[in-house]
Amino acid sequence: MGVIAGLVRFDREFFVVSPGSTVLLRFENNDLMPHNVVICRPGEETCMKVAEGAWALGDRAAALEYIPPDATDVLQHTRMLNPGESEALYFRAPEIEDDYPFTCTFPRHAYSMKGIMRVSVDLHQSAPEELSAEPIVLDPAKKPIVYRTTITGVSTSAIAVGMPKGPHYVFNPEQCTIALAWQGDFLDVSKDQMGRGGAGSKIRGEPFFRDSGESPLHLGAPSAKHAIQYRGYDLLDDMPVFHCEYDGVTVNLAAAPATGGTKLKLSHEVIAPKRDVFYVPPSGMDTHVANRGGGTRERGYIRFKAAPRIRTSFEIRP
Amino acid sequence: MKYARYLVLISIALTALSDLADANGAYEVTTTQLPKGIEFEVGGMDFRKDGALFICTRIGDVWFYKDETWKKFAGGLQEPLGLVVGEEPGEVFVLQRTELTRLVDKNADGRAEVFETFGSGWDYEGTFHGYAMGLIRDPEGSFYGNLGLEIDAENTHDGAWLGTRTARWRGWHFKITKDGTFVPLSPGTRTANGIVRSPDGDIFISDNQGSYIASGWLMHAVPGEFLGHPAGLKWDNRYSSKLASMTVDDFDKLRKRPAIYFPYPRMGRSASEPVFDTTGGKFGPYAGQIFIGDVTQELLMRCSLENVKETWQGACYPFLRKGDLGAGNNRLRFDAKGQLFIGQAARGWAKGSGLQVVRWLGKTPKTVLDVEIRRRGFMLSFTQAVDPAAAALRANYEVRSFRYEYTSKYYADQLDVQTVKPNHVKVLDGGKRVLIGLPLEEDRVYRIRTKHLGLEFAGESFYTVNKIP
Repeated sequence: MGVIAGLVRFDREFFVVSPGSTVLLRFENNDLMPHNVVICRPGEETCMKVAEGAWALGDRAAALEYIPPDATDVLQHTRMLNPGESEALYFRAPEIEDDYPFTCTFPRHAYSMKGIMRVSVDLHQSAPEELSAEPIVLDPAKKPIVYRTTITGVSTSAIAVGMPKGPHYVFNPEQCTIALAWQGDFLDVSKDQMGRGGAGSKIRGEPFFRDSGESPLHLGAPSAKHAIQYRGYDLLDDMPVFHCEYDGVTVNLAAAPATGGTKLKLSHEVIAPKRDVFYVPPSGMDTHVANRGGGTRERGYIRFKAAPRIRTSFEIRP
Repeated sequence: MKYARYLVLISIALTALSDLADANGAYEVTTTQLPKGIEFEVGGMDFRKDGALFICTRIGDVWFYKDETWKKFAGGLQEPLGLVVGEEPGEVFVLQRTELTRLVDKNADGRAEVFETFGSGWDYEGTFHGYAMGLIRDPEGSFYGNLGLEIDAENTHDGAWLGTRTARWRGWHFKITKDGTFVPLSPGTRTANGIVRSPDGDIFISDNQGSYIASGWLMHAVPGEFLGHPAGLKWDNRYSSKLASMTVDDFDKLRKRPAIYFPYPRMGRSASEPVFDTTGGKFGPYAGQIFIGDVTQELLMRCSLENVKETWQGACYPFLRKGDLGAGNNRLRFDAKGQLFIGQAARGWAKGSGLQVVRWLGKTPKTVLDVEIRRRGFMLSFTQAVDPAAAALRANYEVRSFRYEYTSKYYADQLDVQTVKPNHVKVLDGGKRVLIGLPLEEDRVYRIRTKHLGLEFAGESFYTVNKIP
């Protein structure tokens, strides 16, 4: 058993042992904070009481391994292990079939570090429901939802947008691109909103589109690189219009469900570029150019002549 | 006979307990009813000029309370932990993990349509500890806040579990000017959750106990000074190149001392945002002092500050403990009536979220008003005169002093703990003030408790001595 680094949780929160059997519990502190494992007598509050007793030890806690000397609810415990240490506990499981909660008694950890050792003759059981809490999934059925969060592989500050009938997408403010698009359920924000939170969100579907990580829009030449600055968004009927600057040139970007069997329509607006604008479709992306900006298809890109305002739209299909 | 002795012991024990008791009939704590089904974990809070209260929550919403109704102003923000109402109509600033954002309700329908990136320039690697915290604005229109360190397994110094590998400006106190320019001001914060500007324009920040931060503290933040945790020095070009060879002793010599320690855990584990009592007496006898809460405990404290040899220092005192007060005390603001609003959020560390209001009932509590340092001791002022005869007894003052270890360990020790016996006591102003003579040393914390003076919390005070006048 170990710890989910950074989340202040055990990586195993439920296990079953037979009554009276010999148990070998190996605990490895692979986290960056001190942790122990303390198995308590059955009861909803026993572990929390032991932990609170340990916190109240103050200066004496370290010498006592964070176990209150008068605690009667402790069955087994490891030492308080520093990062990188491990310890094996050998003990005889209780004879009485019941749920024996375990925790870590380092201050405040008991709020999130908790699990259950179930003593039972039936070794094949699944974790009780309270340990596998319902995930928090945002549902944009009634109106669009905009939610800023970490999306692994995209950005630590991406903007996820869910639409009532889909598709949903993730905007990457660092590159001013639509990074992912998918159908189905929207976003699981459990790791962001439960426990200490802030651990990012997961999209609830298989993306039918994934960008290359680079903006498809280039000013001056199809391979030009730009300093891209994200400037924020406005809500228009609850849908965001994103604002970015490419070397000081304003680029606005919006995405909406597309009609006619296609899935997502991206609309770019480039304000007064001094040079031509090139749209280089991400490889593998099936695009239709709505020629509102007067774009011409050339080898591998679409060129728009410099103008006071260039409007383009593209459709992404699954 | 045997039992009689027990009775005496018990009555002594009871006296001691009642002297330390937290009864405080001078203030009332009420819990605000909030819309049902809403996660109300307060990350930031501010009043608009018309009295509307704006709140941002940890799950990313902004709400406001006006005409006895809560309305949602905005949503979808990334764990905002600071909020300031702007001067333009419909304008609210919130500090998200990666940017300061200007929200504007342009069409006055009660909902923001503009989410403008007003200022940014620091990195965030996506660990929960990478907070951007606290938000205040000065009269010139500049904003100030603090950037928490992220969890970094590969860049610890002597085993400290928070570090910063490639993310720029983590562990810094910063400013964003009114034109949106990000200006890093001082390195050395760990998880500095709170920030406040004094009426005279000094900025103080509150930081959280952990490696190098021996106990929660209040720090006077001056640009360019090193505030204690070495991780942020990586982005300070005065030190970045030599950081790898610097020792804890080097950091210790370099660091600024906090103005006030909040000794762990008696005075909390995780300090809130501080707020100055600018109510001019509407909140009781403590006008000009700082109020500050604790995120993990049912605790509100107050602080008095004084400037000695151009160094800020002072004392903290328990103000409210348990009773009707909840935990999660995170953001504090006074309203125009002089009531103290407490925005609560403790998820992950304790139980407690929502909004409570503390109101002064008009009765003067009997306690230590403040402790000031003198050349050879402390001057205690009381909110009401105490019995001069009892106050004149040296034995009625229990003083203990210690210094804090400066260490990369998660828990620092109190070192060199001493009981300090007062060598004389002088009662002044008929019992309104007492001068306690005792030997003082710099760089130590003094805990003072009184006996038989009938003071709330036994007059418990913790004075941080940086300089002796």
